[in-house]
Amino acid sequence: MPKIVVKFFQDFRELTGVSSMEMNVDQPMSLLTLLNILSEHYQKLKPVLEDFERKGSAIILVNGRTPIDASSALIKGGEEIAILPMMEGG
Amino acid sequence: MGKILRINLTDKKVSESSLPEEYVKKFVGGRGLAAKILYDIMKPGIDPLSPENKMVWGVGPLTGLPVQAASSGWVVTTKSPLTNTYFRSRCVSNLGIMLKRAGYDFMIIEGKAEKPTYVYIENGEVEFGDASSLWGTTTDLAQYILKEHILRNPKVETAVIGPAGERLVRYATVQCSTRQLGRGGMGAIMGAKNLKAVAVYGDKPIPIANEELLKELVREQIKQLAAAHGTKRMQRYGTAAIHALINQIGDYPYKNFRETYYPNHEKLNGEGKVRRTIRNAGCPTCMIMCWKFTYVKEGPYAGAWIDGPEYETFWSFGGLLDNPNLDSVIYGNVLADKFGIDTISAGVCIAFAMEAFERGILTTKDTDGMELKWGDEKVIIELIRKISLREGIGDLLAEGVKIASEKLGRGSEEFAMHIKGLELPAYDPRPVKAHGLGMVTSNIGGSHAIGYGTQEVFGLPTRVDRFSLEGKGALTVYNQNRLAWGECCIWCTFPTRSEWHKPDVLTKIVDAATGIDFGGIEGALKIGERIWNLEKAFNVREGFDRRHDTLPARFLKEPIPSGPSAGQIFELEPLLNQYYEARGWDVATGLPTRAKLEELDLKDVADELEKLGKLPY
Repeated sequence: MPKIVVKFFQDFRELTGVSSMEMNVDQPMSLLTLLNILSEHYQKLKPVLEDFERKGSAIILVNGRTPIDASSALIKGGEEIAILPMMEGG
Repeated sequence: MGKILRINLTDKKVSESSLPEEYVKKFVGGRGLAAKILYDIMKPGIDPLSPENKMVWGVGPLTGLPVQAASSGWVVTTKSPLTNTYFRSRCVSNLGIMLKRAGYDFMIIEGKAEKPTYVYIENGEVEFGDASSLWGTTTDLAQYILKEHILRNPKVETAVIGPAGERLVRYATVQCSTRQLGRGGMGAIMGAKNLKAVAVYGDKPIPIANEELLKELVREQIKQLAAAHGTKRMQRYGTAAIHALINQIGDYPYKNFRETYYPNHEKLNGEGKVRRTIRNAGCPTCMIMCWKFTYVKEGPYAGAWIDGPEYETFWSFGGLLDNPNLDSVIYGNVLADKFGIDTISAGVCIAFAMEAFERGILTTKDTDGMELKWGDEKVIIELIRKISLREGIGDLLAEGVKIASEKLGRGSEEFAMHIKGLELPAYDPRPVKAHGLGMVTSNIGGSHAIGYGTQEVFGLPTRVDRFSLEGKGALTVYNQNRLAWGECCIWCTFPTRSEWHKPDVLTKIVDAATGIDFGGIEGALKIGERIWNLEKAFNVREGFDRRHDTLPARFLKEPIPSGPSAGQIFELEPLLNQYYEARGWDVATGLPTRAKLEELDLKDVADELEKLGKLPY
């Protein structure tokens, strides 16, 4: 069964208690569906993942790229998902 | 309207003039007005390290006011010894506030002192002091002695050069309290003028046109900043917050930009900085508090402390050189600040030397017996010292990577990582097209901080596909104009470009502070565009055109070999065409046109360029 790797960064590691996790993907799903699953699994993440695009509360990368629309981005298995807090700097 | 102070170090003449109101309406203040003043007083073709070069120090309309993220920024415009272009360097320290309280918005420094000198400005009085006893001292010692023992006033704000500035290291900095005029070799220009230090004290009140309205607007600004998720992250991590992100998107230059993903990045991420942070701080009146004082408690670098390191230094003394030892990065940062060199340029010069050594172009005969191996922290530390003091191989690297590679030859120009002579920062241009285009077309060379592609990197204020070429010319123009206006005011770049505080509130704050209607957001972007065109015209006068808007061959020929951005190159020509079209410039030459310059109320500039034969039509 295809798997994905989900990586958490910075204080999201404190919210989840892990730096990464693996997940089986039975069938393709939208990125938004995946984030809902993660929100249920890691309840402390829910406030930042819920409506994150409008709130600007997180940066979600799929294989290093930011999907323009999380509801239409498809996760098929084999992807690396990175979940980072919103940030600035440089 | 404010005043301009003019100081000639050669004959010690001092004069004052008033800022013309029309200049303020067209250029606001800060970078905009400093660029205008510089453009008017500089002749093209002069050597940046000669007495003919001038530095224009300037503050903004919000300097010293109770406004968030704007009160302590100040700028210097000049001609850079690294790039031979127009340059603006930006600093945050109380020196700007003191200059304004002393009665000045701008200060021109020109000429060359006969012997090491400091200049002290106190409420309208200017004194030239003998700095012979300070010459040779590190920046921390120079600031301490000047404030506590020579001027005997700890409230004085200082800007000093270290041994690197005295030795004309082309990327020498000016240290201002714990912050710097970091890029472009401002310290070398002061060194060439025999100017060890500038000190300022002022206690005059700063007028506000509409104080009640300003307070009301700042309350709204505070609400917006408090609600932004990124504010909390900057409070915790400072600018190092973005280390993990830049690596995850495959934009983190590793081993002199050969790769863009650093496998050891976990050892250098923001958490390590948090563990070593002993004190949060920030600019006066700013709630974000992104400064981090870090301290090394144990190990070979125990005792080292710094206001930093910022993200760029994490990278330039860390990941760029394959050095995952954070304590050594902190120690390297300490040395760079004490000697007075730019950590970005220094790191890129060291990376260049390491690649040259790996390729056999440099050998131990050139390096005083040192093996320049990737990741060797002791070598990195020693090279920082050698560059600062121009010792051995450090003398070559102190010239900057462009001149160093031209002197070294043997194909080393291909891996000298700079744009127009300014060493590149911690972003690979290949996988971020607008961000990269911003660096390529920058009027100050390879800077990330003058047209940052926030849309591609953070997805703020809107998400944009970073690999796509579509619309990237216009996006780059927008980002450059937006920042040019922001630096007139002088807003902190981080919350402004990502719109944590909203542009409409910011424009109203500037109007309330000055009593001038600058035309809202549309007016702000027009002012930004005017400034960008004026800065461009400065460079056109110096002989720059489309041929100079380029970047190292590595980015054009070598696809990124692996990681999240594998396969990407920088599509220079189509992106440049888009950019010049969006600017309304001549695409073939990359030069501004009369129609565009006149649209921006810069007819005098168009006339001058025409006389010089540098106006395409």
